[in-house]
Amino acid sequence: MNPTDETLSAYLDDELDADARAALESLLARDAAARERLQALSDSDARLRAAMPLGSAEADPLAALILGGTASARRAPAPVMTMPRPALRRRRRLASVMAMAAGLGAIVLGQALLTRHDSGDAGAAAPWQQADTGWQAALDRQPSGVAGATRIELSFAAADGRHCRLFAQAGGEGLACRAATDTGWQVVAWDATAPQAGASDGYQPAGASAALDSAMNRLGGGDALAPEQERQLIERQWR
Amino acid sequence: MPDFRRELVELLPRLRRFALALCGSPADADDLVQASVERALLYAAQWQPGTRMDSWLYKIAQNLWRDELRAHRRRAEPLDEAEQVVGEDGRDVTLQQLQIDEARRAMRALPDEQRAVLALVVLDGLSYQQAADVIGVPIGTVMSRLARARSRMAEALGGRAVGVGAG
Repeated sequence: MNPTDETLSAYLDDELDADARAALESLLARDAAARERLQALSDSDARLRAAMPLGSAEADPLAALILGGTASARRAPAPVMTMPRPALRRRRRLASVMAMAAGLGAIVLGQALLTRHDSGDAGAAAPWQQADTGWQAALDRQPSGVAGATRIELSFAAADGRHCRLFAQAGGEGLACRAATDTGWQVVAWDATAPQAGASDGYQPAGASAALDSAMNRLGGGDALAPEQERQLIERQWR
Repeated sequence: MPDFRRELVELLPRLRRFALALCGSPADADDLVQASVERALLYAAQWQPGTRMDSWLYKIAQNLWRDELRAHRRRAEPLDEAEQVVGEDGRDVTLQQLQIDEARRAMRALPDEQRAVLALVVLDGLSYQQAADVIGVPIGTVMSRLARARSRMAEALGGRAVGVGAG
């Protein structure tokens, strides 16, 4: 029984009810073809989003016309355009799906625990355990949605002014933040690797770990940055 | 009124993106944005503070496009020559630009009603209910149009036609 494109599409948009979602997720866990189809649909979504970036409100040729002579309106700082709130939740869900497809599970480690994990691990080590700092470079320079050893899922500005990025790689899935004055990224939450998806045991459905979600909620702040905003931050080296 | 105008300005980037998705060409999108803004200002009194201005504005744009502007669309026009993507080197720019052009062409090849749902849900993040309200169709229609639109986009961009039929 293959899921229809309609079901997969509604799943990407977080529009399935809990039962339908659970049914689909357990099917996705078993069915590589369905996962591949989901990936294809979400990839083309990402391509489309990248091709249609948002401009700035302030620079819009109609802005001055609309505001006319209202001096108070002109003094008010134009807020940064963000995506509507549900978008972040959807993108987070999608990130979970892709993590699941890669066979990733969901054990989060608090920041206090991170420093204790200083020994190397065979195969899928967490970022801070790796000699290879490619993940740092990816966080610095890679746009969201681009495939690579490290895949960045989304970026957002936290309430404290730091910029944070959700990323996934062979070892798991994590959330890293940096302030303008920081020299590098700090991993604030991490989902470690679980057995391969599709294995009879050990499978965790997408979103089963609310850990990254709750870390993101704790950080607060805006919604996912638009590609154009992200591009500018990359150019400015996140300062 | 200043509040209304300010909120309208804040929505301009999203309105522009919606218009570009709907029209396909930047010139038509400019016309549509301008006409929508004029109409929004004209009918400002009909907008209820506290309700979503984005949906209201999209509805204006969508109706204008469907009822008045679409018939006069300008077709023969190169793809977004005005928008250049800046990359680290020339090759980067070219590759990025090619990818962008390809995605936009794929979207432009979709039927109007599929482009509208794609723009509202995939690009703008509206819920199915909100998108259904803007377009004036049932939720089920939004769902099926989206699925068809995504399937065609994936085919055009992925180069693979692995359609998964009704199971």
